[in-house]
Amino acid sequence: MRKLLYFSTLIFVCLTSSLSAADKSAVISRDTELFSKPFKDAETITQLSTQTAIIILKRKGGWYQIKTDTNEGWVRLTHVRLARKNKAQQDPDNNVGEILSGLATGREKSDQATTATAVKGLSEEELRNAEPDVDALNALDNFAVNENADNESGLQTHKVDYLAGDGPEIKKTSPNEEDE
Amino acid sequence: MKFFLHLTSLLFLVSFSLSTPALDFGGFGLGGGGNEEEGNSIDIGELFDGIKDISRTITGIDEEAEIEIGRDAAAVLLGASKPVNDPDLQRYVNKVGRWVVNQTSRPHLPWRFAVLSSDHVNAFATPGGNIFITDGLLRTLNGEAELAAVLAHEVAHVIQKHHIKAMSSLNTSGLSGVLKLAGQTSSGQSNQLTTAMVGQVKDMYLRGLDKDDEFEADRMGVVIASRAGYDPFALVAVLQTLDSINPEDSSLALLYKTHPPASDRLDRLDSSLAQFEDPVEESPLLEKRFNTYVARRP
Repeated sequence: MRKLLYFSTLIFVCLTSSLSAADKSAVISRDTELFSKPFKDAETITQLSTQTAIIILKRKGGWYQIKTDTNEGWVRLTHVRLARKNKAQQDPDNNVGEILSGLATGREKSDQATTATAVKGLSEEELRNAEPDVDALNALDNFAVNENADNESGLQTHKVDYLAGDGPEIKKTSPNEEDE
Repeated sequence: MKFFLHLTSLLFLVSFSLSTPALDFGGFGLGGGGNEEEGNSIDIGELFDGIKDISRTITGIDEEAEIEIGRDAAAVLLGASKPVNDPDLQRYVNKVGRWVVNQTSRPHLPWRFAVLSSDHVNAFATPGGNIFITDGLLRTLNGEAELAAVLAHEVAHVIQKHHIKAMSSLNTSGLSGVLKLAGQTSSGQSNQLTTAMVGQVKDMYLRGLDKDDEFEADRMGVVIASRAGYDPFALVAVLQTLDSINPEDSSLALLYKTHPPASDRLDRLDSSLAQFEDPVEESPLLEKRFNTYVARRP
């Protein structure tokens, strides 16, 4: 089963975003339409009401492919909430990060049962007791990437404006703005 | 929430009128206006003028001071949790982060990205461009687009100087008080943070930023990540994952003490995402390098 998931993940990798949320239970979080395809102009199969239980098959951009008891189709990503899981305590073999990242990447799930031990690092108490570490700060320079470094990602940039009211670019009226 | 902003602004006004304009750090102007001198009765118009003055003051903070405050804050956070000892991973996160910040108005800042060896689910930014993501959060992420989404949210805080604003609102002397503390740290005892500055930094990270600034960072982060060519819906996927974890889980304690609930953030983002209808295809290259450096770690 895991192998199968791994291969299907590989197949979909080029076509879909990486959240292969295969067979994950979720609910519809607001009344919404079930579409036949992941486009807003696609044919509407039916209306889904809030709290409808669904199974997520995969994600493609802003859409989840889902199935209900009676139908299969696409819903808007933002109209879905995943079923709640306990990260460590209740369900040690199925903590959320393991499930999601394991499925998405084909990574073997750890056999070690995660126990509900205290979580280390950056708790409120640890932050309260922190002694500044300037050496650790300076050591970050070793991994810094220069502004003019080559883009190794292969990604293409897009021109997208901040939404109204956000960001420095639209507040040009202020003489103190340092932005280009 | 607006009410809180007004209150904060009022505090600012009062603190600015009390403190002398002779500040330790040069290079930042108090801006025009000057309504704060008018005295007792504050009408709405003056209040709004005051808000404008304050935001102008904070956006006009000298960049060197901003970076210095940010280094102090970063040193404190690194006192609570060390970077993961994995040079390939740290370099990878810096590559992703650098590509993201190059799509903003402030690529010239000394940006540093690091994964901290904490099991808590959280991410932090400090002024001037230090961005930290915990290993606990990194391990819940699925793919580079989600990593970029988290980094872009933190980057937005830096672009908008949200932390400077938050620290100023906590300091009884406002921004001038923060600058004074930072000045003592850098000039007085080199590399030695004053107790007061350390306390100020901790206070801010324990209280968190203004909630509206968190929502703004979500909206701006989506835009920044999208500019960089990443799937703009990746932040939604991250928040849905967080929303699916039991909020009582101790690894989420500080995150939820300092941030709005993930479900509120999802509700707010919904309307902001309408413009991103076209699906973005993720490249096999990104999948490969995310797996190599993040997902398939021991």
